[in-house]
Amino acid sequence: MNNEVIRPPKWPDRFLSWYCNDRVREQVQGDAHELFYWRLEDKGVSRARWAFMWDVVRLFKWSNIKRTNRQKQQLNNIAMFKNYFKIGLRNLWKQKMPSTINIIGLSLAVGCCLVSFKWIESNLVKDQFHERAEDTYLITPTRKTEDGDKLRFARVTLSVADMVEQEVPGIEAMTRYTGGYGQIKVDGTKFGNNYIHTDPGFFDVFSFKIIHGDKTALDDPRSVVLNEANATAFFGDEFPIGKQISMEVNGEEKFFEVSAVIENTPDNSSIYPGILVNFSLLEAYANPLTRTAFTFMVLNESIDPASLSTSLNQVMDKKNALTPKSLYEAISLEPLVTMSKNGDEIANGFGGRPPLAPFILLSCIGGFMLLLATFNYVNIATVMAMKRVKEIGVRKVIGGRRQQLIVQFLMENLILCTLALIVGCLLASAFFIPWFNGITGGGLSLDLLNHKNLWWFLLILLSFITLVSGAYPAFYISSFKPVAIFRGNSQKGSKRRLTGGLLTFQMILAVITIVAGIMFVRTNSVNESRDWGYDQHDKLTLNIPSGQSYATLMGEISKNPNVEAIAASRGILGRVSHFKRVEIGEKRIDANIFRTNNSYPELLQLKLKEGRFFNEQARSQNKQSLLVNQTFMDRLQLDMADNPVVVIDSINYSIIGVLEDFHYASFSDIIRPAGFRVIEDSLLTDMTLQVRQGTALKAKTEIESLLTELDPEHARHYAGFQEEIFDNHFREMKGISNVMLFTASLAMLLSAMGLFGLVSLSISSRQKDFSIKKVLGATLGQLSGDIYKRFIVILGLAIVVGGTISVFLIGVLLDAVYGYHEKVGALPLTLAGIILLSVAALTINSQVRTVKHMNPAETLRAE
Amino acid sequence: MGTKGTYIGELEELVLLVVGLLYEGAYGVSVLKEIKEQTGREVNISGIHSVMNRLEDKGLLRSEMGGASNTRGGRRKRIYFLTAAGKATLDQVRSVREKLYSQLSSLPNYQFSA
Repeated sequence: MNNEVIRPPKWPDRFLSWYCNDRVREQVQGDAHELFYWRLEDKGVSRARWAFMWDVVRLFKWSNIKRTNRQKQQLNNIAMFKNYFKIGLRNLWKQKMPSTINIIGLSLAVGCCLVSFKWIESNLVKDQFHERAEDTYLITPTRKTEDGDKLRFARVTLSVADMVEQEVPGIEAMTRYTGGYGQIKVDGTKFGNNYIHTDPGFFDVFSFKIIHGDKTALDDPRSVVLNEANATAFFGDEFPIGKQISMEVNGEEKFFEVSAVIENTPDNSSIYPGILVNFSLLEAYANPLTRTAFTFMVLNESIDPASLSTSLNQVMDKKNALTPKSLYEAISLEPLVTMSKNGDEIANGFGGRPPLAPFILLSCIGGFMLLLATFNYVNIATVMAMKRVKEIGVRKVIGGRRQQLIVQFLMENLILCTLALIVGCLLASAFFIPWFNGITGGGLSLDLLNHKNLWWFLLILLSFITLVSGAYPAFYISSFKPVAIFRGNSQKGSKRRLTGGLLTFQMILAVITIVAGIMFVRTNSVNESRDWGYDQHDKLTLNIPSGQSYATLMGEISKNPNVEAIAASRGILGRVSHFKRVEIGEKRIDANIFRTNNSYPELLQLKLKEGRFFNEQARSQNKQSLLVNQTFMDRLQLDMADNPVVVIDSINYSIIGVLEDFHYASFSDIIRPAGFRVIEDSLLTDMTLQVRQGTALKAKTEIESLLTELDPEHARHYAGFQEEIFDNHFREMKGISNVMLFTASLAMLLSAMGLFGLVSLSISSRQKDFSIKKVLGATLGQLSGDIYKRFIVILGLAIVVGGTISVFLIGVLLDAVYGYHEKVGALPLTLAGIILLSVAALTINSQVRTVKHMNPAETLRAE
Repeated sequence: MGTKGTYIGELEELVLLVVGLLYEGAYGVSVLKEIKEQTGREVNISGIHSVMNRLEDKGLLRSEMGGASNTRGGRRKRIYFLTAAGKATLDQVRSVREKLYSQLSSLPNYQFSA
């Protein structure tokens, strides 16, 4: 038969050769095979197979099993790590107080770091969450501006998209994206005016999560895609798919059916799709040669975008042939992921370089906290090590090498840091991030599952805190000599100096943050009560509805008995900025020129220093007149006595009066040169009403309903208070000072915990000492004096050094944030010193009490 | 001799004898077959291996890698030889046994129990 083919069963044979030790494999396997063939002749196939399997099982015994040297070590290592792990956990548990201090401190620091990281990352790393982000490009044309400079633009004409599709190889998806404007209505209620036209390829280029519906949602020009926020705003809790909304497209009301809902735009996206409709609606009426749109495309991975320049040039030639009057100089590609970062170079594009100050502030806070917490750890771990010298001695005597001891201590540290990291994540997602969002109005969230960068950050953070906080204690502890340990004297001097140094450093940081907190709160309260330079109370501001003339509206409004006076302007003082180059002779400055009617400066009760306000009668004369602030005069070194005449846009203006400086921009900026000039009534856009004292609220509702009566087409008419102009600014500043206060309290808490740990450890290691002194009749004062002595030096040093540093550092910080602030004076420094001292005293006293209640008999009896 | 190595078990004695008999052809399977043929005892290969290893450890056997054969898939055998110490042990075991046995047969009126 087919005797040739019969072989020993495959899998048992493989198993045999796998487990067999190299030394015996040949002989053992040979024997097994020979036996198999022998039995095959004697007893038949199946019996032989069974017997073979049985033999394989029988042969699976210790003397035959593979045991290489390496494997032996691995087994040992696992046991060793298991032992380290166990001892680490036991130590954590046994030393509850220091462990708690360390974990709380580290987790608070980790929480702060996470907030900083999330904020910085979401501002720095933009648009990378799209699946094809790496292969997506924005088509950017270069054009000559009127000055003859070449400038890159972010939008190309609509016709370019088709040309690119024909000429450029390897395009996998493409979409145009541009805003549309028209009244949006849901069931007759008006909602905003802005929506977005985009091609159906939008979902292939960008990967915003689709919550309801699918990628075909934009194929139908009668469909609309909403983001979650809009869906909720329009339909509340109702299921949005299939609902209708109406929008004006090119002035004509059209109805759309909701076909999909996408997630709310993440913070780190440059584009904010809120309401999306098909691009063909725009193409139906827009001129493809002049109308522009952002055009994105996804290239095949294999295509190098640099190799596309020829085909892009062909596109450019084609386009230029159609529009000889407006020529492109070049067409280039901007990667989606750098689009926001390079926003400054691309005109009308996305984003721009993010602001630097908050970056520095937040990373400083995160770093400070991390330092404080790691120092706590280093200090406490070093002191705790003194209690474990015997263990170290024993380990060394029975052959533990120094390296192994270091690994052991780092391992214990790793356990603690991992715990702290977990608690930190919880803290951040439950408290810090929502709280921070409340201040910044952002939408940060800790999405552990889908955030690769976050994992990297956590990993780096974990290794950083493990190494930084653990390295010194580990090396220090492992350097003890067994002989010295068992003889009972160990070197203490250097350790004391180090812990003292670290504690001082912590206290310095605490002082600096406290001073910062105090200064921010103080500057805010000073600014909020600062004189604005004019009377901002009892003034209503309103936008003149389009189609209404100033004169008729004034006639209607002046009928209201509560309105005392009316003036008008182009933009509201405090909101508008209109900087113009002002020249007189050789001297030139930029000044903010407010365009108003002639009664506006008087209505605001700006304080006249010299000269006069605008003249009611001489209208033509007013057009050539300028009313300026004191800074304007100072900067140009003018004197009213000379009747100065300045030139703006090659028109001469004579200065008729000088106003005392007033705040027309937020308190973040210093007051810069400013002036008023009178313009035609037809150019005025805003009205300011002086109302009778105490009737502002009533007048507001009356004026609003009057406006609705006059102009029923618009959904909302709104009158504001002049005195609320800076409210946003104040809120923002309040946010910053809250962040500073929080930082200060956290820094104080961490340093206090560190102090607490050190004091309690130093007391517990000197219990016998204290007991003996107590027995010999020392008073509590003498005992606590002993404890205080060491820390008072540290605290004093910290206050002096920290105070000096904060005078400079906080000064710089305040300069960056506020236009006007007080110097860091004696008051905040003293206050910070008092706070620090009282917290320290409380902390130390809580430990001194244990000395007070200590029963010498108990402590001396032990051992 | 008096050392621990002197005492050997019954299977060990059998294996020693068979290895000696087979002379240059003694390896795992051949020993197993020989034992089966000569005594009818079924011993498993794993057992033979451990006995031979033990005997080698005691210095009663010596081994070296021998030639390959086709039924073994080209694998070599480990060939065992009886050492002088092995032979001496066998002799000693035999003499002890014969000495005792002769005393047993010299009892004339012994009644063997059922």
